[in-house]
This record gives sequence, C-alpha cells and structure tokens, in this order.
Amino acid sequence: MHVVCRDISAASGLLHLATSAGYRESGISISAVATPQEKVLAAIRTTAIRVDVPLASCVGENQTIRPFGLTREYLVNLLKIINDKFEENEQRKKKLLASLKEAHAQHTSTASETKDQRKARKREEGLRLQAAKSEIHRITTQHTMHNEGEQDDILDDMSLDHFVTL
Amino acid sequence: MAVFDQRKRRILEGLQSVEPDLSPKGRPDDEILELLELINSHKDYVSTSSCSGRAVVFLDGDRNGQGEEAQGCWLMTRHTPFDDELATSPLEQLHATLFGSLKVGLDWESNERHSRMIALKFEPLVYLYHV
Repeated sequence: MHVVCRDISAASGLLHLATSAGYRESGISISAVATPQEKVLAAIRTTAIRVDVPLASCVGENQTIRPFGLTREYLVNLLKIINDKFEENEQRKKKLLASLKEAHAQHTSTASETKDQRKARKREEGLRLQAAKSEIHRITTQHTMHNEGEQDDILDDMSLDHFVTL
Repeated sequence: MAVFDQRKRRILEGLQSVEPDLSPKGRPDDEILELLELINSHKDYVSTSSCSGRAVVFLDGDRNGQGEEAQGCWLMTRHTPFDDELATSPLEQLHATLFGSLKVGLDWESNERHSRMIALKFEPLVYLYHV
C-alpha cells in the first residue's frame, strides 16, 4: 500500500507504525528532494506471507495447460496453505488498523482541544500530580524518619519520575 | 495551498471518479476501505494505491508474441479464502478453479520449447490502485 505523506517526519511516523504491526519490509522513498515539488511516499508492505509457486506451462496456439505434475493432494494442500495466508494477512491488517486508530485518536484528541478543554485537562493533571506528590511525601516521611536531610532530594526525584510517567 | 494539500485533493477526486483503473478489479477492495478512510482522514497522509491481499493465478506474457499473447493475464483472482469443499473436489474441479476455462493437457516435458509460465501467488496487502 502506498501513502503520500506531507513530509519526512509524517512518513517516519507511519513507517514506525507499519513495521511494528509486522510490515517489516515497509520503506520511504523521496522524489524531487529539496525542491518545492518534493514528494514523500511511504510504502507499507511485507514479504513474509507471500507465496509464488509455479504450477504449469502454457503451450501452443490453442493455449493448452501442461501441469508440472500436479496431483489432487498437492493442489488441495496448496489451497489450504493459501487459506492460511489469507488468515495471517487479516491478522496483520487488523493490527495495522488498530495501531493507526490509536495514533489517530491521540493526534485528534490533542489537536481539536478547545481552550477550556485544555484548561480542564491541565487542571486535572495538576491535581493528579499534587495527589501523587502528597502520597509520595507520606511514604517517604514514613521511611526516612531517621534521615530527614535526604528527604527533599528523594521527594524531588520521585515526583519527577512520576511526572514523566503521567 | 501547500503542494501536499493540492496533491491530496487531486488524489481524492480521482478516487471518486467513475473511470476504472488498471488493476483487474478496477476499484479499491471493500475490505480495505476502512484502512484507506482512516489514512485519508489524517491531514498529513493520503493513500494512492491499495489492495487488501489476494490470491492469483498469473499467466506470464510472451516476449516473442504479439497482441494479447505479449501481455500476461490473470487466470484467477480472488480476495477471499477458497471454499472448504475444494478439499474433497475432483482434480478437474481444482483445475477449473485455478485455470478457468483453459484446456489442461498432459504433464509438461522439459524438452518442450515455447511456453509461458503459470504460477499461483499470494500477495499480501499489495498496491494496485494507481492514481
């Protein structure tokens, strides 16, 4: 599948999603580099579930098929294998769709936020941080009663960690 | 308007046009539409080609041939799994599924010249839809 992207950074985001979803042979190609016409293309692909099996030759004016010794059992097994590939292809597509949806939801939730929504979100984050801080404070004061000099350092380090994971 | 936005608009207009493209089906598969819509709804992306995955039997083109023979052709294309009933079908029916109406003769002998290869392929999420 080919996707034209706004710029290299947009393409690289999509490439990351695709390779994580199992489309490992995906890539980016750029034409007309560094001109106003620059075109960034992401190709999403996998070769892992490909099948390419010679079956027969076609000969003569009247197009007769000359099989490469195909027995019924062999063909039945071959079709079963193809059906397995269909199934695996579905799984990978679902995975790709799910990670695209997730990325898309994250993108739109922050992009379409109004001023008030942002204010509310920041306030919520602030309250959670404060609650976490006082919880950490409670724990650290319990554990460092005999070593009060270090308490503030520990509190700072821990609340910073906590902030990062929020 | 940025170059990308102009491109995107042109591509999306092409998708809605009634003229079929070069792929055997001529339209994006229904199964892949959700994926395309999701990508196209993002401001930084637009999809130009896609296929949800397919099994095909392809007859190679003949380099020395003329007209239709010079080009390869699909003897079978399908976007869904084979029916389970084929597991108990006679050989003739399997041949018909794979080769369509072409006549099946004796097994190939390696000393025969002038032939075109026929292969069964599975192609996952390939691109077909050109704009």
